[in-house]
Amino acid sequence: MINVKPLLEWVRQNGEAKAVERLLMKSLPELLKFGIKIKLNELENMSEIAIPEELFYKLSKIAEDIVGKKYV
Amino acid sequence: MFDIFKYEFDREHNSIEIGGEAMIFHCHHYITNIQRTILDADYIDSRPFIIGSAVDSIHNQLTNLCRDLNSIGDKKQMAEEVYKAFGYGLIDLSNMNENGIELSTSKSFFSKTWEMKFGKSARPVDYYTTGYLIACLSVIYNIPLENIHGEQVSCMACGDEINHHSIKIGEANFSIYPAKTQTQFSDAPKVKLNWEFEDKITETFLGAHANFVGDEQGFIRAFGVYIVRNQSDFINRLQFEFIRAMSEVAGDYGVTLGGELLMEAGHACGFFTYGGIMTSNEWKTYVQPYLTKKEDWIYGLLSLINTMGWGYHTAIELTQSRAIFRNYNDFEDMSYLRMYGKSEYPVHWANSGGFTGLMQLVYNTNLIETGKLASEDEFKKMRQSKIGYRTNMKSGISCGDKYLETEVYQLS
Repeated sequence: MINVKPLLEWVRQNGEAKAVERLLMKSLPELLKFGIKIKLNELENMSEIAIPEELFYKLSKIAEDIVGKKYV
Repeated sequence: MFDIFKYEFDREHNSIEIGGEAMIFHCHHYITNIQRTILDADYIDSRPFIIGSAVDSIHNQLTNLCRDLNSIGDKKQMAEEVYKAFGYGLIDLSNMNENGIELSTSKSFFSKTWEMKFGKSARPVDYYTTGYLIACLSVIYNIPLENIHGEQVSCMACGDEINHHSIKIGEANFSIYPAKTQTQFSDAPKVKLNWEFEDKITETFLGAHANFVGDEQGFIRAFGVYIVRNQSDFINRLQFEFIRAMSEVAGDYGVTLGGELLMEAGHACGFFTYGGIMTSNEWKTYVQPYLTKKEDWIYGLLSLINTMGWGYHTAIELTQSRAIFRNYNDFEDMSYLRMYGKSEYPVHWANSGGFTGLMQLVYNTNLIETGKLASEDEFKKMRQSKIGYRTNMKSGISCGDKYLETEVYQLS
């Protein structure tokens, strides 16, 4: 499992308005496949959101497409 | 032939109807945002409802507008003029016949503004014009919609030189919707703005909407944005069908996620269009002399936009940290009631996002001090920040409430 919170924070800081919501929407089928629904209030209130590694890498790729930069 | 001045503004309900369709303005920030949100969800087959939503409204409108026209030439002229007047660009229907049309145009609101906002697109974006042409063929040659097939085969937003739409006789490849009901305006007494200059501003701008018609290129450039006069049911059905599809994919989670993004489109619209109005010469001449404190800028804006057909906006409470806005007969709820009936959740994402954008503009930028609107980059930075306004859609007419009510607040 990997903490996806830093990735989401990176998207928020580097993407356009509501880029995180956009990421979640574009990734919805993948999230659902893993039975995961990241709630919007969790993004602010939780310091860690652990997700499977495979899902993390899929989300990273979509995040990089949205932001237009490489996530390092 | 088409004359915008023939259509009177309904002062009681703050709305305007043309050819049986409620009409509202939207700016390119809103339109491109909402369309991209829908297309982003590429696991939803959205093309049929995007085109179908356009077909449904335009078919109804052109049927009414062409009812007393006898010749095919006159009907074509009406359709071309309406398209241009509403700000969608230019179309030439002279080659249309009972078999369809191969139409090329270099003037397209959708393709032009998509590229302005987002750069190149991987796929054609002018679904509206495909729908418009399908509706034209059906109305002008009396062909059932079920027998018309349409697609956009090239798009300037994709880098093509020209937009090309191919409309043929064939199996329909878009959604066809049942007839909608008449508008059911709410009769709730309006709580007016608690501001002495409201009526003066509203009277000044009453009828001003008719000045917003397409130029020689078919575009409406105003307040620093491109605007279009939308068939309200077209643009709102896009929202409703999208959220319905999101609900099918992920239940309430899909509704919340989709709704957040629809609200963001309204936020951008409120920010840029209202900001454009507040930095215009018309505002400086006719509104600004009555403004002393920041709240007056919001009251002035609401007094003005109540002449644009979006319903009656008012503020019940207004401070920098919290506001309660209402809209009596807002365009989104009116649309929902006409097309779907009662809703289980509020559907006024554009209105609510617009209110939030307005608060952001007045309290979180220096527009009032400098007279200048923040750039797209500054807007982006502002929206990336965690500091900002939150939106709570409290009640909606389509949910059975008497008015739309939205709370906009800052996190303490």
